[in-house]
Formats: sequence, C-alpha cells, structure tokens
Amino acid sequence: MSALLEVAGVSKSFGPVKAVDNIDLTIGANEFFALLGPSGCGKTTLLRMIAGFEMPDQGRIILAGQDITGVKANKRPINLMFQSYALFPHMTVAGNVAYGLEMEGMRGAELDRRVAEALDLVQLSPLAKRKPAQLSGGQKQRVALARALVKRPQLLLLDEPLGALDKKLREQMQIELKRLQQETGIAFLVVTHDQEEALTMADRIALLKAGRVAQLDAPRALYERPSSRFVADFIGQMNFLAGEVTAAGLEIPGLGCFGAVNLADHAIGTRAELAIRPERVELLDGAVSGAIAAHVSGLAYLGQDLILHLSIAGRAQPLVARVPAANPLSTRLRQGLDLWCRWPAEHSLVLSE
Amino acid sequence: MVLSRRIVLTGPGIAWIVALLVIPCLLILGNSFFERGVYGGIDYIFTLENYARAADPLYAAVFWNSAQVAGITTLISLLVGYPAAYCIAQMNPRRQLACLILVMLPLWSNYLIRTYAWMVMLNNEGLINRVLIGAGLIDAPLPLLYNDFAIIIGLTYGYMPFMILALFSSISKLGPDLREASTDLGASAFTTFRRVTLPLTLPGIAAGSVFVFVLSVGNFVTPDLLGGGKRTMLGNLIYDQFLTARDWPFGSAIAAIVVFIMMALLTAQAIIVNRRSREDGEAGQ
Amino acid sequence: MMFRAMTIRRWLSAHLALVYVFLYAPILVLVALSFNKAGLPTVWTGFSVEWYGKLLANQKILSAVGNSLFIAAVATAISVVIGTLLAMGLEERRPRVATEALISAPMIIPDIVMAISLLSFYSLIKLTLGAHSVILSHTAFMISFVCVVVRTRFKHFDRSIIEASIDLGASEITTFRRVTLPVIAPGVIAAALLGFTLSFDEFIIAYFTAGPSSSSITFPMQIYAMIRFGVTPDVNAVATIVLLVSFFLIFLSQRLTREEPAQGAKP
Repeated sequence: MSALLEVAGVSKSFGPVKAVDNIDLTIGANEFFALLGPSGCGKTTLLRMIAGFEMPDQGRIILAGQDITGVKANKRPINLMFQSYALFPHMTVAGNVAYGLEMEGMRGAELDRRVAEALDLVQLSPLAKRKPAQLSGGQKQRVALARALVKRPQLLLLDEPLGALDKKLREQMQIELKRLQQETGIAFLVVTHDQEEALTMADRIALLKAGRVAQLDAPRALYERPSSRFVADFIGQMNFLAGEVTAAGLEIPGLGCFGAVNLADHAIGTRAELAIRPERVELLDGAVSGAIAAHVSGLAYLGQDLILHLSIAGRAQPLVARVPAANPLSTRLRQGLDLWCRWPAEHSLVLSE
Repeated sequence: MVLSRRIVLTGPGIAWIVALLVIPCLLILGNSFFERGVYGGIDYIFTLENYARAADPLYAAVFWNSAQVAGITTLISLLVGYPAAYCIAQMNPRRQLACLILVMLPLWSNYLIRTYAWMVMLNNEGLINRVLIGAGLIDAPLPLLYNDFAIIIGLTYGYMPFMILALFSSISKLGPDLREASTDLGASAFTTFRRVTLPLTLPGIAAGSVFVFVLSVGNFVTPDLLGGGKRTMLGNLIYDQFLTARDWPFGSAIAAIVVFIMMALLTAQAIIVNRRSREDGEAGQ
Repeated sequence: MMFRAMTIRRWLSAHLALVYVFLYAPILVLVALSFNKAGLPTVWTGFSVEWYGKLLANQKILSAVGNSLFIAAVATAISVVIGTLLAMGLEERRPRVATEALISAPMIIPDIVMAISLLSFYSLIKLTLGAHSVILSHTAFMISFVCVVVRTRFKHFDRSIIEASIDLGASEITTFRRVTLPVIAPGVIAAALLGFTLSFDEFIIAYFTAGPSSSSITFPMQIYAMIRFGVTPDVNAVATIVLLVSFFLIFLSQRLTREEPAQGAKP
C-alpha cells in the first residue's frame, strides 16, 4: 500500500486546549479511512488541517510526497464534503457541481460533460435544475458529494457525512459511499462519532481520544482486539471484571481464575480487567464446571436479540449478555430466572488502563 | 491577517459613526458647560449656569409638561396596546403575520403626513366634529386641535405600534402551556392573567413603555403641529434655543438632560429584562 | 368556562378592530379628501383629480422632491457600501458589547438631539451647510439601519458555504463575488430601500443641517412649510402620493426579504 497522505507529528492548540496532540497517520491511495472519536477528541480539527482551513502548530502534512502544510485550502487537490453540506443556496444543483470546475477555468462542453457525469454518478441527473431548498436531506447530501467528487481530488474528506440523515437512509448511504469510493478510486477520509458508520464503511479506523490516536486498526481488529479499556468501551459494548494477572489466568475475586487470549502480554501480579463482549456470554440450564450462577435481573427484547442483565452474587455491576432470539433458550428467559453462564477463553481479553 | 481583515470591514463604519454621532454628542455635552456668546455664538468660559437655568420654574414646567404628556401617551398606548397585542398573539401564524404587518404599515409612511392626517381629523370642520354635530350630540364644534389632547392623540398614533410590537414579542414567547397549566390548577381567567401572564410579560411592558416615553419626550413635530405651539415641550424648547433664541449652550444643556433621562430609563429597562431572564434561567435548571 | 373564554376572545377581537380603525381612519380620510372637488379641504363635495394636476405645476414641490431624491440616492449609496462591510465584519466574529451599543446608538438617540449635535459639529468645523451636509447627516443613522438589515440576512447564512467555495478552489474575491454577495443580495437591496425611505422621509435632521440654500430644501421640509399653515387641499394630494409610494416600497422590500420558498422539498 503506497502512502497518499502522511500526517507527521501534527499538533494544534486553541488557547490552553490541545486539540490535536502529535498525531502520526498514513493513508493509502484508494483507501477508505475513518477518524472516529467522541466529540472534542480533535478529529474535526485534524480534518480541517488536512483541508487547509487550520494551520498546524507543529508537524507536517504531506500529500503524494509533497509537503502541503503551507498550501492554502483553495490550492490543495483535496476536497471536503461539509457536515452542513454547505450548498450554495442561490445556485442550481448543476451550478453547485460546476462551481469547482469553473474555478479551474473549465468552460463549455467539457464542463457540461463533467457535471453530467458527476450527477449521474450520484443518480441526481433529473434534479440538475433544482435549487438546494427544493431538495430533501438525502438529495442535498448527494449534491455535496458530487460537487466534491467532480474535481477528482486525490483525497476526499467527509465531515460527519451521514449525521443529518435518518436511520434508514443512513444505512443505505453507507453502502452507497462505499460503492462510490471503489468506483472512483479516490481515497476517502471520513470523520464520524458513530462507530457503526466507521465499522461498516472504513478499511481502517483511527480511534482518537483527547487529541491522540488511541488505536489504529482494521474494523475487525478494533472490535475483537481493542488495545485498551477506552477502545473496548467506545466500540460496541463490553463487560469488565477486575482482577489480578496470574500464571494460570486472571484471578477475579469471588469468581475464580479465567483464561484469555492475550494473557501473555501482561506481567504476573499486575491489576487488570477481563473484557468479554455480551454476545460471547453463554447461558446454561444447569451447573457445569467453570460456570457461574446468575440471576436474571433485567431483560429487554430487541427483535433479533435479547439483552439480559445477570446479577452475580457479591458483584454490584450486572453482567450483560446478548442472546439471539433464535436461541431455543430465549423463550424461557424471564426476569427472576436463576441460571448459569460462562464465556470461552479464546474470546476473552485482558486489558489494563 | 484576521485582525486586519476585520478592521478593513468594520473600520469605515465605526469611524463614520464615531465622527458623526459620538463626537457631535460629546460636543453638545461640552457646549452645555460654556457661556452664550454675545451674538449667539459660544464663549468658551466654563459655567454651570445652563443647568441651573434648567431648574428655573419656567423651564421646570416644560419638563413637567413633557413628562405628563409623554406619560399619558405611554399609559394609553399600554392600555390600548396590551389587549391588541394579546389578541394577535393568540392567532395562527398566518393571521398573526398579516395583523402585525397591518400594525407596522403606518410606521413606514412619512411622520409629517401622519401628523397632518390628524390635523384633518381634529379640525373644526374635521370628520370627528362633523359626525358629532351630525348626530346631534353637540351644537358647536369642539376645540379638538391645538391642545394637549391633540398632542397626546398624535403621539399615541405615532408610537403605539412600537408598543404593540414590543408587547407582542413578549406575549407570543409565552405560549399557551403556562396559561393552561394555571387554568388546570384551578385559577380563573383573571387570576391567570394577573399571576402568570402579566408578570411574565413585564419585560415587554418595560421595553414598550420606555420606547414610547423616550420617543414622545424628544418629539418636536407633533407638539408644533397639533399643539399649536401653545405649551412648549422639551423638543420645542431645544428647537427654540437653537433656531430662534440662538442660545446654543442652554439648548445643549436641555438636550444633555434629555439624553441622560433617556439613558437612565433604558438602563432601568435593561435591568428589568436581565433580572427576568436570570430568574427564568435559574427556574429552568 | 368555555363560554367565558369565547366571550373574552370576542371582546379582544372587537378591541383589535377598533385599534385598526384608529390606525387607518385618518389615512383613509386623507386619501379620500385628496380627490375632493371643491376648494374646501375637509368637506366632501364630489370626485376630482384637480389637486393632483395643480401639484404637478407646483415648482416648489417638484424641486423639493428632486432635492430629496438626490440626497436620498447619494446617502443610500454611501450607507449601503459602508453598512454592508460593517455587517460582514461584525458577523465574522462576535463583536464586543461596546461595538454593538455604538452601532445601535444612532437608532435610539432622539432626532432632535442628533440634529442639534450635527449642527453644532458642522458649525465647529466650519462646514458650509447644504445638500452635502444633509447627506452626511443622514448617513450617520442610515449606516446603522443598513447594518442591522444586512445582519439579519447573515443570521440565516451558513458560513460553511464560504469555506466550501474556497475548498473548491475559489479565491477570497471570487468567493465574495460569486457566493457571499449573491446570497446576501436580497438583504442589501432591502437595506437600500429602507435607507432610501428613511432619508427621503427624514425631516428634523435635514431641517437643522440644510442651511439656507434652496438646493437643500427637502421634500419633508417643503411639506412642513405647507402644513404649518393648516389643512389645505393640495397637501392632501401630496400626502396621498407619499403614502402610496411608501406603501409600494414596503411591499417591494417585504417581497425581497421573504425567505425563498422551499417548494417541492421532501423530508
């Protein structure tokens, strides 16, 4: 994978607040990359520095081998799709899409052809003559996308691209964006606070926390092998059980000793937490060796799954389990039921802070 | 870079207002502390005489008269304007807009012409006297024009729309929920108005009243045309000192006092509004 | 209870209707009387447009209208440029309270105070009075009004479209010409209409700062001179024309400032 964009040691402060703190990233050509994190983690600031609207205090931004740190936003071969879409209200859909090409000095038939092509790509050709006020949210989003893509940038930045859409449309557009990225071959950098969005679309995700990269990995690795409690907690749901690392496993007071895939990474005698995804918790009718007695203290039906809160004697926090509704046991589950649970060591992780 | 861009944009406008408003106003304040020159000019000798003169019974009467006329105008505008604003606030948005435009429309025509319209109405042969005589209620025309009554009518006509707008913006913010809650808790319509609506619309009442009062006190066209110049108001007093008596320092002192009173009223109004919004903020937490 | 509420509502509506009668009766009477046949200004004797004809022959009125048009046009041109720049500058970053107060000051200071302070100021700097001093005086308050109107337009303005334009390769000047200006244009035109009306109608400040020259007698000054002597039929006609023109201008500026219709938009 050849590097298209390189962010090298970039920092940016606003007054006393360090918004971006010495970040290094590399984005490959034709890659779909996501910057994920809670609000205030610095993802938007980083995006705006790559777009050229903010200057880094330190570090360099390199695009295709060229240092563009000091290059103005209107001279960078990078385009941004704004969170608000930022469509020009006084221009038609076609006028909006043509604008960027006109800035390159393009006129006449060539311009018309490129605009038509871009509108075709986002399936908006019939609406070319409309004004933005006459479009729905999803249509506006497509115009914004076409307007940025038509310039054939080397890198397309998307700031919370699906944030303003309702749930159904959002799911549809996730697949659509992925298709457009593959068809155009342009590298996409998406900023989002929505983990599901990042997981479905991105090839790689950088999870940011307080201006730093907490973990950079492919979606599956991020979900299955989070490197810290923060990552595990941010992506999906996770049960945490505190204990101490021993040679045999993590010793959890009152429950016993549990194995985990990455036990070897931790020094014996340190404090750590055992992390188990709710869908990895197995429910049993009867006691088997290694199973823990539990009591159903809460139950929620979600359609395809059931969420159970299992109280375990001596623990304040209930253990959360997720059971497919298709599971034969699920019809018998009800509040107050006593049962047993366990989890496989190969799906358990040991995490320290 | 950002700073200089801002200065380029706002600099001319701010400089313009400072040169043609702030400096001239400070000049008036300065002039009010000097003596009148022999030929109507200004002798730059410091004196407090102009302010002492303003307290003279002759001029104090003008202050009192102006305050009375402006006060009555404000009171009438409030009493007539409140139910009107309340009524508009209850309508659906479409009718609301139409009714508000109807309230504002006269404001956009020339003030002199609007004042003149009342000269036509209140004239001895005017519509009102003709109707009253025609109905047999009076034998001879009533002296409606060229008195304080005419001034108050003229000022109310000119400024009540501002009162209605200020009250409307305050009342329409209220929404029906609070009134319905009060009714639900057993209050009568009158009690609801007295204990809920009225206190919550106090900022609008303050804003509208200060506005009408300030505009009325400083007015000079209406007293001149409808009052017939019989009882001078503050606007006319300033006018006379500048264009007739040519005593600029004294006229400046009167103007300075008017601006001072106006600023005091605006400050009082701002305090009422601020306190109200702070209380609301606390209640919301 | 229901019955009570209905009665109160009915009383309120009746009251509102009376308020409208109060607001519009004088205007309507005035307009009606301007078409009155005989010489009497307040008694109806038959329809005629003779007063309008006489008006067109009145040299004093015509020249005053000309003066006012000139003064209002020049003052509007100056205020629109300066006021729009001011609005843009203020909307870029939240201005200080002192700046806001300074800009609203010309809108709240009584006309008479502004009139005498400008007269004193011109006399101090020994500026000869005339049409130019009236223009200068009018811009002093018009800039504030222009600024306020243009700023309301900026309130609905998504600032990211400026960044979008730059992101798409436009320079700052191109962005202003092709994005910012067209988007705020209705506000600027509405502000110009408002400024023009304010200047054209303004009486007191013009009266104090016009000086003795006949080229600076504005239309309101001419009207004032006429109505001081009482009610006359030709003033009725002048007044009617002024009313109609101002109402037409309001209608125009209302149409311009109205939000663009979002027809055909689907959620």
